[in-house]
Amino acid sequence: MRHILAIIVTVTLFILASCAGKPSNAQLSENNPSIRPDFSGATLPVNISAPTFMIDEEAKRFYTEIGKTGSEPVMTFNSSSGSVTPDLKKWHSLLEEAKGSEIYIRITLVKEDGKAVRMKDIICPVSDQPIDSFLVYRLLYPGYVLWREMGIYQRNLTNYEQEAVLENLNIDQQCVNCHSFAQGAPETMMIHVRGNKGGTLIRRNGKTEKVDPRCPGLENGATYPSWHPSGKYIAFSANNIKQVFHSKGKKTIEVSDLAADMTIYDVEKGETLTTPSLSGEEWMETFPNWSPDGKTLYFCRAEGYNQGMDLDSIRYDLCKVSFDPQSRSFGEPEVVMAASKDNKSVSFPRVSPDGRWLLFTLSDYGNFSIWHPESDLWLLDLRDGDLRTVDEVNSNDVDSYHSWSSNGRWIVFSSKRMDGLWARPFIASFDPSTGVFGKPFAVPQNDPLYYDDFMKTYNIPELVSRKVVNTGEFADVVNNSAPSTANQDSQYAKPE
Amino acid sequence: MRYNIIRLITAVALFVCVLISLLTLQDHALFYQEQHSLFLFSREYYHHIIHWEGPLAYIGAFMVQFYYYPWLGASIVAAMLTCIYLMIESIIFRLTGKRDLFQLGVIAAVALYFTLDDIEDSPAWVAISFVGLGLIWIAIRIIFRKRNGKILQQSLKTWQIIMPLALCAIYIFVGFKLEMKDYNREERAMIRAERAVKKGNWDEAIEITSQYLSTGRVNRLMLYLRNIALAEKGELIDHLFDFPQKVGANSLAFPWRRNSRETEHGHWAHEITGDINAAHQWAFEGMTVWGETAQYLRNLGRYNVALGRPEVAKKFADKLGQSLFYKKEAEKIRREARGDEPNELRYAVPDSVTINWVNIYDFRPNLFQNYKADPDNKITRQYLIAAMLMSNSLNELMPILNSEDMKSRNIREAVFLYTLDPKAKPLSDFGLEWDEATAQEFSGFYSLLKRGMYNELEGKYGNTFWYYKHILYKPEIK
Repeated sequence: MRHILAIIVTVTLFILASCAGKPSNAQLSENNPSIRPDFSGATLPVNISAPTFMIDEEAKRFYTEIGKTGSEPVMTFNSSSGSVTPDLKKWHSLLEEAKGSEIYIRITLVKEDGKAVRMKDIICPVSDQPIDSFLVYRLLYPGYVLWREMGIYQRNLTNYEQEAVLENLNIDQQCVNCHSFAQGAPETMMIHVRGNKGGTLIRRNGKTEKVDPRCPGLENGATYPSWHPSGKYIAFSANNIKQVFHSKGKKTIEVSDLAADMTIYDVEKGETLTTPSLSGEEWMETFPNWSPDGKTLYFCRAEGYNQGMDLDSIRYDLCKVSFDPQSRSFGEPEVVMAASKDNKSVSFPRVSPDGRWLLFTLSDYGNFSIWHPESDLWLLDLRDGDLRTVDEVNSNDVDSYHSWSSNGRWIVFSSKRMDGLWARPFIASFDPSTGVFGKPFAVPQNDPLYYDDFMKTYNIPELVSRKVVNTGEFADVVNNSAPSTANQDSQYAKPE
Repeated sequence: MRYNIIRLITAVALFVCVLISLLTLQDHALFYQEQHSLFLFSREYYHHIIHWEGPLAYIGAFMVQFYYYPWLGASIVAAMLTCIYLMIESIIFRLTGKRDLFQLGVIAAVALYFTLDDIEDSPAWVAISFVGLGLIWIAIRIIFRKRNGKILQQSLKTWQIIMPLALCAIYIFVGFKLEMKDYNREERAMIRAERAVKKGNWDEAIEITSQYLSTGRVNRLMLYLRNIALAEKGELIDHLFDFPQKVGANSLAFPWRRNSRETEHGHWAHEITGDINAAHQWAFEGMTVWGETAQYLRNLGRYNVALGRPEVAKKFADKLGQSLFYKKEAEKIRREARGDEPNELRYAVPDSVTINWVNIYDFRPNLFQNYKADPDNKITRQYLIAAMLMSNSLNELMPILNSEDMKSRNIREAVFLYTLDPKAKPLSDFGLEWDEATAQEFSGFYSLLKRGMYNELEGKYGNTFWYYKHILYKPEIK
């Protein structure tokens, strides 16, 4: 009987201890608490899921309050681990109430000696502008050449749900890549599949088909895509890509073009077009991106590769070419920013939805900036030509592939700032009137230690306004249909 | 004799036979599986493996983790199979009220043993059968609880003693014969050689590979493992041509050919020659193909410490630490990442890091760079000399040599051939001396070669550099 009593008393004391309330007489500290992942000071979209986090401070107990600035906390957490996982329903209510205002995260540490220290509040502005609800990305090992598990997934940013769009588990472990959407609309999208049943999956008007948009007369197949805003065309670069490895130093791998041309695939007619000024051996053209009006195609261009050329001497300028969607004709290419003159190289130009801003990645050479720790995001104001490095977003490590939200108020970009090897998707707010970004934060996960544990890398994070539906159809089309090739009567588009 | 005794004898015989078989005939399979699987105690691992490989793989990985200690894993499997026999025997008794004189339980246990026949096969089915049968056994004991065990205590007639014991012996014997029928000795030798290299048992590795290669078979992996073991012992140059190097310099390092099987082994040569970037690349490719197993997590952790990426190293170590038996190794990598303990790898870092691409087909340029950056790495030096010999690059070889190297017969032969080149510099330029005995030996070799007496040539000079250079060398293999 005495044993039972002892157990009951112990359990009761344990429960009482773990349910201890707000520490009293806490001493105020001027120090900011350290949290991981760090989103302190970041502007949050009103619809974003709750960022879970660990408090990286020395303490016996952690007491956390979350609420709207100037109001009582709506959530409190008391833990010995420092792990904070807000309730999603309460979180969304809080953001809805605080939109246009701020929320605070108040952390009180109970030290080993029993003294309580209240850290400086973490303040996060809450924007009334929502971010697109879905993020589509490829998950794979940040490997080099081989692969086994690979898939394209969609993440609901308002909660933590992730679903497969297409996994190679269902298609004989073939490579899936380069998902692209017409202005963030999942109804008009494409995915490349490489392998014996490969092809380019194009979904449009409720129908998914497998095609081979290779341009007749060009050696290389369709590679990096950009949907025309009308949904009638896809600009593809046709690249011959080589992977090489660094023997020394911080960089490990280099992915380089040996040839690249620009083509346009007419989705309705099944024809692929190009023009001599966008193809040929003199230049290598890659990474197309349309302006929102569909009249200008931005791309990166470098001098053509010659045998024996040092790969680290290949540098890409930012270029553009006009395009008439009616006549399918191109103008003459122009250099927008001659980065190569400054021994720099441009990758991934992306024009904002309002057409004013162009965000791109700049690195020392080449175009595969995800393997370049020096790569940073740069912003070009297309209205007045102002150019600047986006210091408020960039880090000491890779900051690379990026995607605008459909309202132009948010970007998602890949960064390796957490550890230098795995790319993680970060969100940053954007003010289109000033061209200034907010502090970036990692896409929230339901486990505070998720990014510490997860061994795959996020590739090509693309914001999408709605969920990709009927995803099983992609695997069915891959497995059950042969690709229709581009119309062999395709011809060079006429220059304007 | 009572039936209980027969049951006990059968159970002990079954347990011992399975245990011995697993620890002797199948010891390589236990090692192979343990190296290709790593059970992690984490939610993420559970979801991942269930989604990509299914519940059978999850159960298999759970069982295989105990192969870390082969005696433990083998004992668990043997105990499970023995229990399966006992449960079947008990179920038959409960259902029929009769003794299992035909030893059907032994047949089931032996049949389940054959699910472990292939080196890829985990004991998942053994575990599933054990659990499933256990549940059936419990249910039957409850349903037929009135059936008492007195019958088991009754004395048996002579035939009732002999028959079950004889059948048990026959089943086990037939099982053994069937296992030996398709037993793959070549596979076993390769895995044992790999195990010896991984454990740093260089003499054992040399012995296993020598036995294998002396049969005349050509196997790149065996030559590769042997070269590693020889280099670790400082004997690579002396014994380089003990067996025909028919794959040339490809036995020193694998060229990158996108071969998933080769990703398991490619990192070694680069690691020991100070080419940690290349070792990292190979190990990462290996992990991509074979999954997050202990060898890749450990190696990638170590390499990232050496490459100055402690955050990445810690991540691999943390993952490794989620396993049952690799916690100490994980902690060691964490200590190295924190700088609390030195990293034992030799990373040949040049004075100034300029952009330099790995030549994935030709080992020599990076090897030479590593040698220049870390000339004290004796393994790098041996590999560099070996690569020069096997690619017949005598002009590049000469400046590396010193008078001490002339103690090696292979070097003396190479130096002699160099002197035959009309453009050759005097040996004194390299601090080397002419060796008359080698010159005389060459006349014997050349005489046989000129007369086309290849059998005699192989018999007398098959293990020489001259034979390699004139008969085996293929210029396309660098």
